[in-house]
Order: sequence, then structure tokens, then C-alpha cells
Amino acid sequence: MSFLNGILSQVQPTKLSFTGDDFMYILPEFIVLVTACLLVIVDLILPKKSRGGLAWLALLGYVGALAAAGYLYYADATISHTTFSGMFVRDNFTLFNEIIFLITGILGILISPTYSLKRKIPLGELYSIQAFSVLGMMIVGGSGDLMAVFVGIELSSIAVYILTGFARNDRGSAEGALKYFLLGIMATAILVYGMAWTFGMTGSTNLREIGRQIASQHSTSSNMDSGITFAMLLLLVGFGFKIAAVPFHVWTPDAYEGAPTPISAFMSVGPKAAGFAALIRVMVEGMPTLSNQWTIIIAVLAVLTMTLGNVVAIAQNSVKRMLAYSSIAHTGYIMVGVAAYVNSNGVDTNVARQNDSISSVLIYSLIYVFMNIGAFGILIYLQNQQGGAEVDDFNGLARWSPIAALAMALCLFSLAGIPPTGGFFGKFFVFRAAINSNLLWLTIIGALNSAVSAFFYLRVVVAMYFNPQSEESKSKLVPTRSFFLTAALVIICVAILVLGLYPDPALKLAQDGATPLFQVVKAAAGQP
Amino acid sequence: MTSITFTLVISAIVFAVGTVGVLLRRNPLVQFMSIELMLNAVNLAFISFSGRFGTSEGQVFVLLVLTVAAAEAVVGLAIIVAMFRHRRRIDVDDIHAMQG
Repeated sequence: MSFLNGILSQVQPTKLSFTGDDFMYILPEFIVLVTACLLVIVDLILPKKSRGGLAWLALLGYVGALAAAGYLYYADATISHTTFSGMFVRDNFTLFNEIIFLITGILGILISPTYSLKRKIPLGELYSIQAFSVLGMMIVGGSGDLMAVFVGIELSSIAVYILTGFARNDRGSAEGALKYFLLGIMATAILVYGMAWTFGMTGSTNLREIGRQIASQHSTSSNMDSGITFAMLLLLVGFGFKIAAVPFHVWTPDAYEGAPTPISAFMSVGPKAAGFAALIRVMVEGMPTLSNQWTIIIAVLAVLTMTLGNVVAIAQNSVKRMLAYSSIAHTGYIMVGVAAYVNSNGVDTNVARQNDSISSVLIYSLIYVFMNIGAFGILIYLQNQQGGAEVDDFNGLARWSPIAALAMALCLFSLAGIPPTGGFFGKFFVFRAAINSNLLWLTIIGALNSAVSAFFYLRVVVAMYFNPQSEESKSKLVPTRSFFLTAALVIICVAILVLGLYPDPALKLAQDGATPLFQVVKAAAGQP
Repeated sequence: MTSITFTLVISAIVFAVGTVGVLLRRNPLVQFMSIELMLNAVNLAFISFSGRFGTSEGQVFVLLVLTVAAAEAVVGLAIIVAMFRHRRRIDVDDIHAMQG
């Protein structure tokens, strides 16, 4: 292995230093960490009756973290600052991901209380573990080093394994948790083996340094390729599990169906977005030189993911399981955006086109947070009222709860990508990026899949508006009001409409978010 | 064979044994142990690369992997116990309340 000698001479020890600024730049993460710890402590002190107030503490923490992230953005909108010896990067990509994860956290808190109280799930622990999960995702979003990617992904995943099995009296919950756990940690092992090989081939765990090493080795010799390609494949498999891409999706339907519904909503958006953030950080910042190879793999996986997710979703009678398969399909749409990173028609490094690709991934993830938690939110509403989660349980919802039916219809139209909802623009941006990268075939498959998906989304709408409510369902109906759930659904419906009618500000923010990645890529390739 | 190649081959073999164990064994506890084996293979790879480069990054990574593996063990055993409470025996072939 003589090639290692060449790397050895180039590896330089990095200087360790911490300053007060370092802590300034992780302020949002720090606030979430303090909130999570406070929730554990206050939960112990408070008497059982007044623990409902913990939701306010959690919300305060998330909103405070959002405010801190916003403050850092307004203080310097073009910020790109490396902290903690390259472990954490504060730039606009970090910011956009923090917004996604904090909104996920806020909505996740709002939809939980009524459902959890009915099933005797301890709320304080649920909130604090969820906050740790959000913290892990935020670390992934701002990671500048493989170690930060690993620790962040694990912090968010382990927390979600616990949450999945939180309904201890429910057999499905434990079962879903076990399946998720075993496959999840196996994915972790594969992922970290890929990180070991990446480290072994480049001599560094810092993503920018890895990018530089691969670029320089690529230009001088070709005998490195097999080792680094092996590493890249292992990393892709690991990330594939985390984002639930076919064929690494087998845990998804059972984990989503078994978990308490508010947790299904949370884990169908948060860890998925974190997986994409990690994928983009590692692949775009660390391995831009190999982008011709990994985009092809992602494009193929995207086709499988979209098609399997949509086709199997048609056959589902449980709305919860249908939403699980639909979330697999949405992973596929987002992967189309990632695959658009490289122009399939010859090599070019047009930054505007690449920016379109990454910003479409970001904005789709944001819109997906709202519409998917919205659909799960109405499901929670229905389960609070009468317990069931089958398509038939939606029969006649428009009669006895017209506003809930309208909100569900809005979320489902958005998931199907029908204008004027946010989901339409999400798909529009992703497919536009693919067309600009000459991936017309992928766009066509994606559009056909959208048409298929409309079938099973509209099936629920038809049940709500045209089928009569059964007598059995009427007898089970227990009117339950929840201030938090209503608030969450109002926020979601407004957000879906705003993103559908006026997506410009969010799009601008997503484009800003994608920009710092390409400065890194250029620097790695030695361009100004 | 140089020493790094030797340790890397060992690491690859251990990783493969772990993977086969996860896929073939039916007891969640044994599957969990196999995954621990995979993580140890990763640690071996990190240490041999790290020794070759003479930097500490790989060794720090090993400490992180060990810590995370411990956290996983705690959560995993808790989930397996919860599972056991429901059905008094654990075997992944019995776990099929949800299908489709």
C-alpha cells in the first residue's frame, strides 16, 4: 500500500482551539440541549397533575433556538464559520436545517399531549427525549466532520428508537421498536465502517480535508479509486437506511405503524431530513470529485423508492401504514433532487444548476414537514375521537367535523402535489432541477408516480366527503378537544397555503442555504 | 503482508461474520451481539488506519463508537425486555403482528 505514503506526507495536524465565539455559533444547539436537560429535571420536580405545563417549556426552548438561529442569520447573512476545530460549521445550510428540525420539534410537541394522555404515555420523558433527538439532527445539519455526522445521527436515532417503543402496553409499539432498532444499528455499523475507510483513504475525518484529498489524489493517480469507492458505497447504504430508501426501507412500515401516532409523525420527517442533511454534507462537501458515481446510484434508488412506495401504498387499508409507504415515496422524490446534482449530459460545474438541485432538496424537506405532520395530525384527531386508523374510519368525517376534513384534504392534496398547495411547488422545484440536469427520464418516472399517488390520497378524500359514517363509528365517538393539536393544524394549513401561493421567501432562503456548500467544493478543487 | 493489510483483512472478516450473523440468526440478542461484532471490526479498521497515519483522529473515533455502542446496548436491551414481557419468548420469527 505505497499510496498511503503520499497521503502521510500531506496530513497536517490541526490546531486545537476554543474561543467564546465558538459557543456563540452553537447557540441554537446549546439552547435545545439546556431545554432537554431542564425537561428531565422539571419533570421530576413537578407533581403529576401539572406536568402538562412541560409542553410550554419545550416550546419555549424550540422558539428560543429558532430566535437565536435567526439572530445569527441577521447579524451576518453570508456567515460561514468553522467552530470547535472543524467539528461544527455555522453557515446558511446549517441554518436552513435548523429551521426544518426546530419546526419538526415544535409541531411534534403540539400534536402529542391528548393522544399520549389517553394512552398513559409519560409526557415529560417524551418531550425531553424528543428534544435530544432534535439536538442530534441539528448537529448533523451543521457537521463539518465525520465524527459530528456520526454522533449527531446516533443521538437522533437512539432517541427515536426509544420513542418508537414508548407505548409499552401496546404490543405493536415494542415490535416496531425492535425492528427499527436492529436494522437501525446495523445501518450504523455499515455507515461507520464506510467512515473508517474514508478516513483510511484520505487521512482525515474533516469533510473539507477529505474533499481536498480526494480531489488531489484523483488528479494525480487512479489507484485510489477502489478503496474510496468502497467507502462511498458503504456510506450510501448507511444513509439509505436512515432516509428509508428502497431496498433499505424494510423497517419503515412496521416502525411507523407500531409507534404512537405523534411519534410516527415526528420520525417520518425529522430523522429523514437529518439523513438527507448528512448525505448532502458528506457527499457534496466530502466527495464532489466522485459525484458522477454517487448521483447515478441515487438516481436508480430514487426510481425504486418512488415506485415501490407508491405502488404498495395503494394496497393499504390502514391510513397509518399508507402514510408510511407514502413517506417512502417522498424519500424518492427528494432523492431525485439529490441526483440532479450532476449534469448527466457531460461534466459541467455550473454552480447555479447545482444550487437548484440542493435547494430543491431543502425546500422539499421543509414543505414535507408541514404536509406530512398535518396528515398524521388529522389521523391523531380521528384516533382521539373514535380510536380507529383505517380508511373506513374516515367515512363521513366531512359531516361531523367539516374543518378537520378540509384540513386533511389540504394536506393530502399537498402530498399528492396538486396546486395551489406547497407540495406542488416542492415537486416542481425537484423536477425542474432534474430536467435542467438532463434527467428527463427520471422526471417522467417521478411525474407518473405522482399520478399514481393521487389515487390513494384521493381515496381518503372520497371516504371523508362521499361515504356515510357507520353506526358503529357514531357509537364510538367521544368528542375530545385539544388546544395544542388545533394550534398545530392551524399553523400547518397556513404554512401549506403560504408556501403554495408565495414560495419566494422560502426558496430564497433555501438557495442561500445551498450556496456555502459550493464555496467548499470550489475550494477543494483549487478554484478561487 | 504488511501489518496494516493484515489488520484490515481481519477487520473485514470480522465485519463479514457479524453481517452474516445478523442476517442468519433468529434471536434478537444474538443479532444484537453480531452487530456489536461489526462495530468492533470498525474499531479495528480505525485503529489500524490511525496507526498508519500517526494521527489521533481515528483513535478518538474509536472512543466515540464505543460510547455509542454502550448507549445502543442500553436502549436495545430495554426494547428486548419490553418485547419479552408481551410474549414470554423472543424470536424474530414470532414478530409478525404487523405485515403488508
